[in-house]
Amino acid sequence: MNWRMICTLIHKDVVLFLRNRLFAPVTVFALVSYGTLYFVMPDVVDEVHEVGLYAPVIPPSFVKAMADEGVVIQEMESERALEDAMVEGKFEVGIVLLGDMIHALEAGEKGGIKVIFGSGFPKELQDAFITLLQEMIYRIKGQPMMVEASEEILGPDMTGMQIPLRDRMIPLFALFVLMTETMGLATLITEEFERRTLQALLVTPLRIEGLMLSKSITGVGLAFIQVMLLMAVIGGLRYQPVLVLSTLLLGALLVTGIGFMMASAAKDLMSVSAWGIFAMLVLLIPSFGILFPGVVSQWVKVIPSYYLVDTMHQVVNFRSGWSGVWQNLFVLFAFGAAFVWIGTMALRRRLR
Amino acid sequence: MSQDAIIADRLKYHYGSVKAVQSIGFRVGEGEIMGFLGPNGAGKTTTVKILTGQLRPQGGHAMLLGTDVSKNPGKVQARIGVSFESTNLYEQMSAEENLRLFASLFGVRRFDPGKLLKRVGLAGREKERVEGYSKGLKQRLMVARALVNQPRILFLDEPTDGLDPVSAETIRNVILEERERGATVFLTTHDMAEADKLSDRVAFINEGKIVALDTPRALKQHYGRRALRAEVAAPDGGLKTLEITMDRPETPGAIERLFRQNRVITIHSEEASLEDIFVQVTGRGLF
Repeated sequence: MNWRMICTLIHKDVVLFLRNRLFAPVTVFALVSYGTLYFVMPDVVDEVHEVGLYAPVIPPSFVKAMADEGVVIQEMESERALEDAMVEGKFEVGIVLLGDMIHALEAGEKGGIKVIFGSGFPKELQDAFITLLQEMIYRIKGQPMMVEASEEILGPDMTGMQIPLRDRMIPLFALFVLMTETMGLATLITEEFERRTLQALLVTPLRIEGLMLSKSITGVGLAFIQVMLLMAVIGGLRYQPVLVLSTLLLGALLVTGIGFMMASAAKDLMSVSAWGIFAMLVLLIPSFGILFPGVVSQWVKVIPSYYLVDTMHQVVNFRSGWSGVWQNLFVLFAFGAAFVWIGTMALRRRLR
Repeated sequence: MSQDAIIADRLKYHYGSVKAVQSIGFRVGEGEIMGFLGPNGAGKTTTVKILTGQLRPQGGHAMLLGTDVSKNPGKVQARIGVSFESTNLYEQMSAEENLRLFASLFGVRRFDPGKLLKRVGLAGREKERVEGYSKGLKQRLMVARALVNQPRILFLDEPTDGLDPVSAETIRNVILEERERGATVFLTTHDMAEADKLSDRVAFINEGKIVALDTPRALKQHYGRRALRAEVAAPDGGLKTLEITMDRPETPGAIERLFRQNRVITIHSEEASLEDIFVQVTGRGLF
């Protein structure tokens, strides 16, 4: 492998990328926009939830306990009034205490509690709310409430340290930047096919292996440097910077493979864009699971970007260490290597 | 022309059922300019791709400067220069950057792009991005790029096609200079007049086969028909054209009678062009 040639090609590709009238400005715009968006978004979470409550007798200790947990109780005159208020969208959660629940509990009877959720209230949060209610009752009376409720562990207890939306978006920002660079790389390669400059390169002593290696280094390098810059600006490197950078490097490898595949299939800038949008839509799906917990299920793990965004989320937002995410990193590396290999083979085929 | 710079031995290449190259064989000596002529789809480009290591032949083999191209393309490509028919320059880069890029790939040390650009008439425009160049300027730069490694064999594919007379003349001069330097030039062209003017030998290729190969002079002698064409005054006051075929026993008598019996207004000798010969040999035109 002749490193002089490879360095020459990398230099050429970087120059061409920076002079590209579409992707150079788009890159700068994207970096500035994502950075700005991050800082414009609130860095706190509104922890106060308004809940409608109807009870023939309202135990003061219950109201106080709920208020301590950031749940503001809004008393309703009747169960019907509560349901109407929920239909109007005033509350997403309503609680109906049936009879004198506290006395019933004291007497060792099965107390009745009815929780009503709005239709759009996520399933996971429903369970969390039920858990919260059980906790309240236990705190008040020192015994568990005898109601049937399924339990589900939602992860670490984030009470008092909920993740602001902007921090949940960090993996999404990373993926956006990586995908933008991928489209830039695919465009560079497609232009080389379209303008037949690759043909000129391949009648020099340069071999296809060297060409592919230089493209891989350029692709990974461009994507990695830019996403690293963004992460440095928006605080994505505050915790475990080496782990975050390793994750991003593997993510850059993954998207470079995707870029190669796109370039092998695309004929021009339009087709790169079409393939790029399709790839971006698919790869973004796991990010939605982080932004809106409960909207995606386990099947999302078949999408390679899951292992990038989930790792970023775990490390940046939950401060996980190597031991917590090594399996994710391993799968991400496997996907990245496989995609680069498939992309390289597809490009070689087209070159020949 | 000491030894052979290019040896093509029974080269064969098919694209599916299309037989692009069918057992082509020829030799080109060092320092020779070989014109490679044929219509579109005749197999010229495929042959050049095989010779330059872009395609591996499905039959036969090609030796350049004593090396089998299929077995060691890198070694061969280090010593050749290729100028393609369609422009394939990095248009977002300047002429100088384009040349430096390829000089670096060829491992040329202390490369001076200015000297080469001056040779092809691009002095003073070396810093401009290529996207602003005219077709003629781009073609000149393509030829300059093919020369960065001082190649021992230069492949030029339609180097003057569609160019203005000044650019075409500049490129022709470069081709002749390269021959003076000792380089072998493999010139693929449609332009029969250019091939006639520049080439030491020409090969006609048609339907993947070489149908004639010799010096232009020998081809004309072998296939051509020389004639005298005269315009003489007609009895009605107009002009009449008469033609006398040369190189026959009755020719001297015919010329004598022409002048004795007619008032000759104009007279020209006519020689077969390479195009006439191509049509004669292949039964088809170049386009």
